[in-house]
Amino acid sequence: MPVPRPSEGSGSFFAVNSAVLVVGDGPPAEAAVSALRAHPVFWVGATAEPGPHVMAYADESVAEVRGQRGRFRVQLEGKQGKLWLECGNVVLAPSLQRTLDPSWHLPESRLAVSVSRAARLAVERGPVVFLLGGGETEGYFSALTALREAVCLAARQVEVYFFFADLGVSWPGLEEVHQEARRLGVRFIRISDTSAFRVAEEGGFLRVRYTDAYLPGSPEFSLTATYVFAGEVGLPGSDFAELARTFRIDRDRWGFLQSDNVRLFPVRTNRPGVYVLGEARGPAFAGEAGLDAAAIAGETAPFLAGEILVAEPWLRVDPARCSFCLECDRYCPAVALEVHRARKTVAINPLACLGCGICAGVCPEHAIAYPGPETKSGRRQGKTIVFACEKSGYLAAQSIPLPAWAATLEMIPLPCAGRLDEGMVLRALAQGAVQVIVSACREQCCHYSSGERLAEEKVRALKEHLGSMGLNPGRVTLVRASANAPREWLGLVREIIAGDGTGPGETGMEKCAKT
Amino acid sequence: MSDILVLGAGIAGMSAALDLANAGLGVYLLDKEKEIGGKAAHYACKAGSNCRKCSACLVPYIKYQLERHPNVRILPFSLCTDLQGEPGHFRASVRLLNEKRQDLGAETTLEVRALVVATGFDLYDPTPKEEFGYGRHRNVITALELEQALWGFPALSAAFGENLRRIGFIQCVGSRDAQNGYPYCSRICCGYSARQALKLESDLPGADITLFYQDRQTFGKGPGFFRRELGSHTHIRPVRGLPAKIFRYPRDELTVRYTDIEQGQVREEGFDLVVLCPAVIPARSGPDTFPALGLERDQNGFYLERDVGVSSRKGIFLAGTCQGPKDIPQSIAHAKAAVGRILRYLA
Ligand code: SF4
Ligand code: SF4
Ligand code: SF4
Ligand code: SF4
Repeated sequence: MPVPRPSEGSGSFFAVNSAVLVVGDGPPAEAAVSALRAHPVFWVGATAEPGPHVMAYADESVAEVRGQRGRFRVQLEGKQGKLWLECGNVVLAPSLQRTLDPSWHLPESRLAVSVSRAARLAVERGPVVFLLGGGETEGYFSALTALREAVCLAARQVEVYFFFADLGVSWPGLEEVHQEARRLGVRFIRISDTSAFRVAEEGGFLRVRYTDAYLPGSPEFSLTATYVFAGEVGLPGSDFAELARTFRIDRDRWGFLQSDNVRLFPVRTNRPGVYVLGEARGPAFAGEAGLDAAAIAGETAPFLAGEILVAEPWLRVDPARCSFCLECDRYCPAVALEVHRARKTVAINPLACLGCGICAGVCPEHAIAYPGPETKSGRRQGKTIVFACEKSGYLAAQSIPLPAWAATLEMIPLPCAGRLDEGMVLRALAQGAVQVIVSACREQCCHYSSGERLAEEKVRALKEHLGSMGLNPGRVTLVRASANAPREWLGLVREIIAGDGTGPGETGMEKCAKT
Repeated sequence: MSDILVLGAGIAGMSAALDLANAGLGVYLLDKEKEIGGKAAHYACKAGSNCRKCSACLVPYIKYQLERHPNVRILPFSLCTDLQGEPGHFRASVRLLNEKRQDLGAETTLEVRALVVATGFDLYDPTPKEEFGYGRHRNVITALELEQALWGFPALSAAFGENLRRIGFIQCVGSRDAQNGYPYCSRICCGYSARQALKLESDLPGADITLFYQDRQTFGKGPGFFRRELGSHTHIRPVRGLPAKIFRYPRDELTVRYTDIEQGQVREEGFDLVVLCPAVIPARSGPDTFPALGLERDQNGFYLERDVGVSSRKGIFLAGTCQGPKDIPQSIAHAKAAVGRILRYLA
């Protein structure tokens, strides 16, 4: 672990490496390298001419990653053997694998190609046909190129037909290009069903046919085209899975390098110091990588000073108690634990730790202390104790004046509902609390990726535990509501309190599951 | 002298202020309203059985952190009226307002090294589009009004009546409309209207919801947000094509006339509530809002940027929708970009 230098306030400075590692070989990686020009950059997969701030590794790949935000140690492997690099941050910028949008069912033909080839072909005469936004893609992937090419061709008096299902025009300036294309005489034809679309090669030309299935009796549309340019779709390739494994980051269900959680949008991953951008994180217009790259440069800018201030309190592992079971490492959403297998010790890296307290809640030896109000003692006769996630339920309750019946509530904020441990709940019940409510974030919206699921598991285990002791399992309940849903939060809590004492059982959870 | 003045405490201004403060800079965060948070402060959670990834719940926590941050001074109910000095040493005049947003006459001068303009956007006022009868017909509302009703108090039925069974959304109102509105796509309304529809579906069991749209824009993660999110919902019906007119005659109900492009027919249909999705337009500077600061604008009236987050004037940076329409993640990205530029500029 890096050695801290105390600051005047409550916190310490940690020496950090200002270098950034960029991994990727396409336009997103180029955007990142260019936006990070104030930093020393190592570029694995370098394609373009790098600037003076860049060390390019065109033929190497990442073999191993150690360390944490501020000081990653990354091993590269290549023809020349292996080498270690040190960097403070990492940007993962692989490109998607592109294929022609299959929903248009194009024939194998050198005349029916992807939109990105249009600019490189010398099109002398038309008619030229563009096909865009047919499948699942909403037309964003190639819209920029397609509309610009259509304008260029139309300006040269080439006849252009533009078939589309959805036209992705939300990128700045794109709707204006679309309007320009219309002014120049590009014929836009909105279609409802790509499967009714047929393209076939006929003697050096392409025959394009379309019948609108929804318009009974409408005539078949047919024309002979010189070229057909279709949109592309992109999917994560096998390199995405490889990178996720090497860097220990989560992917979403489609394989993009960022889990589907708004807390991470747009450029963060679950692991502090590892960023993603553009199409590596999900569907994006080509230009979006530029905005993302600039955002990453904002995240890494404080590292330029060579040291970072980390405010107290940070969590520490008590080596005398730790049994090296590694539960903390298993549950930490941020990969913030430094595990020394040889020495059998773990330490929390303050630069990577998000402060959720999940490790403190899962450690069977109580070797990680998390200072906070949950340790308060006192009498709780007749009270309903709410252990509330400080990012959701706690804020929801604070955002409105609470009604009179809520006077029996005692709110105890937790950094994350996943921080809960059995002891807290049992203590509250022993102190006389009628009810314990655990208030967590909505599904898939936890600040710390998995804290809400962990809280749910813990509540389930507690219910079993209470049942086995002959107590009413309904005395502990989980509710879920986000910070901006005070009405829902209040409704769920009220329902539990209004229960008849035999216990509302799973009311809160069932309610959520139903809605 | 503090370091930075952030004008506007919406999502972009708040994220910029928080990141700057965390980097150790002293920040003034100024807003004309009593509470910071901007428009997004009263956006509702759209989760049904799952989070729908609208990002609105990020706002309260960012606000919570700012209110406790030792490096941040929040100036609510304040107007910046003038800016003097030169890059590296600006003097901003700030006036205080009262609860009714009247000028209290008290004026202070803040000395700062750089400025972040995060003055956000306005919503297009649909009143001039007489065919929709906004302001004339009861229950023809804007999406922002719906958002606030979904947020909480009073509840939906108290705001718009008990009998909400047929709800229509009209997208692109004033957007993609060079003749009578604004030429660009507003970028956010396809996503929020779909999420609001999903929310209404779970809040009002049995209600039928219609989305009138032109093109579905890209949202969220994974391909095909709309087909994926809306495809299996039998109570939500997307209709391609924007309505021509809303009227209340001869039947005493909101009647929407539209051409169903896919079916090629003109139809008329009754609704209990019609939600308009107005264009995102440049916020108007002026004596009651914020000074123009001599910043150049683009052809649509948004602030022009020289590079991501960098305005036309040295020492003044841009964050969020004052530079062009953005959703919440994009606004945060833009604010982070501005923060990076400022840290390098001050270094
Ligand atoms: S969970 Fe506790 S005991 Fe186990 S390794 Fe971590 S700190 Fe040690
Ligand atoms: S507090 Fe959270 S982020 Fe920090 S080490 Fe523990 S589990 Fe990881
Ligand atoms: S739907 Fe929106 S407000 Fe609700 S939890 Fe998800 S991101 Fe947050
Ligand atoms: S985002 Fe959708 S609704 Fe909004 S202007 Fe663009 S196309 Fe129209």
